[in-house]
Amino acid sequence: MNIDIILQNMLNPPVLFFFLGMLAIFLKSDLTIPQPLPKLFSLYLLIAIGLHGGHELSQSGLSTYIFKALLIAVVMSMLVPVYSFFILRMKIDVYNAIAIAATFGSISAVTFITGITYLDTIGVAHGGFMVASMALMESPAIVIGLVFAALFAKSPDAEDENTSIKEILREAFLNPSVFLLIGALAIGILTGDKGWHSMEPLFGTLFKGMLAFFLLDMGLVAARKIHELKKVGLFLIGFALIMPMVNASVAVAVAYFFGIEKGDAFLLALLSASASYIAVPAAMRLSVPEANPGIYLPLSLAVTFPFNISLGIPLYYYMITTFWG
Amino acid sequence: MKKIEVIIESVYIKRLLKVFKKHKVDGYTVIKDVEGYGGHGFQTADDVSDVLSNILVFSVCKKELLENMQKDLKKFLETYGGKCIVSDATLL
Repeated sequence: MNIDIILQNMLNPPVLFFFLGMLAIFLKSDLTIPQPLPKLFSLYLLIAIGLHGGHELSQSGLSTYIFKALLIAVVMSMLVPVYSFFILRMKIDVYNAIAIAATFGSISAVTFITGITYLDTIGVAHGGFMVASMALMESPAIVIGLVFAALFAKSPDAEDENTSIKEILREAFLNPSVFLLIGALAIGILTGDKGWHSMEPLFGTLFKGMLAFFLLDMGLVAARKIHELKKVGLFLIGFALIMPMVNASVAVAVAYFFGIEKGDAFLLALLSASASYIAVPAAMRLSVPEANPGIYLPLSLAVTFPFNISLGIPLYYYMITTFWG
Repeated sequence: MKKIEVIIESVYIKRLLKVFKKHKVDGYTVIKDVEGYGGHGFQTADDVSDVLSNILVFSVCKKELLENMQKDLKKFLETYGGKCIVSDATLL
């Protein structure tokens, strides 16, 4: 892998804004983004990516190839938390192993969006349907976390169990990001070309600017979580750095075997490598309150996320070019 | 009358309100995204998710009602963490 491929990704304004946010915290600047705005940015990004994907899907239509790619996405999102759990169990307690495995089994929408921006920058095509694969990959890890909790961990509050399973399944399948993403995707498909062009000034043209704003905030949040890594230990920090590469390698191999195209294979690898820091941690707080969010949140937010958007993206792309040429 | 103030992680709000409902607490106020310093250091509200953000719920009720609810509230705090402050209150 040469330095150009890393620079091409790093010298992307949104990625640089992420590091600017981190720098602000390290230098003790008072930079903050007023509270409701980061949530608005994340809603914006989900709508934009959903609408765009829906529009592209309305143009391309469904095919066996698309189903194949979606199936790989679902299988990866079920496979990753399972083997992650057993690796983690060698060193840590069952509650934290469940929460970390579920966190790493799910995905990060912003990592995916940064990956799409990278592909667009270097001019590599990718299917709009990949947005659907992202939505499909968010929930299975939560369900697997629930199954593991039922199998390996004793609930301290048995009488609450039934209601909490309902609550957590709702969290898994109807959490705000999955709901909005699938909704926007459906609107994009229904309204097609005309709909997309009417929304494009806001959700297309301004996209990169809004992503920069969101990543600036993510930089602030991630840097604030870095000091918590002292409590986490080297094994878990190593896990948060190595597992994304392992997961991406598995995804690349599977995608290559099933004849997935270059851009889509890259996005599958990136999705498999990314870890959740919104939906899954919220669901794990509810289902496994014994697990320490001071461990799984900093791992995904302060280790895996920065790694993926800085070095992971060029690394996975390099892996792809090695296989696909 | 007694004033109950509970500071908990936002994700547990529905479970706390279930305790309130069980004991027929018929009114409460919720203040989202409260910030403060505690055992976990400074908890800010400007997070991308609600996972670690805190929420304040307060209510005013009769002394007897609080006595009935106390056991469940303690159990809730033992399971999910948080703080509960009880003080005397006068309603105008």
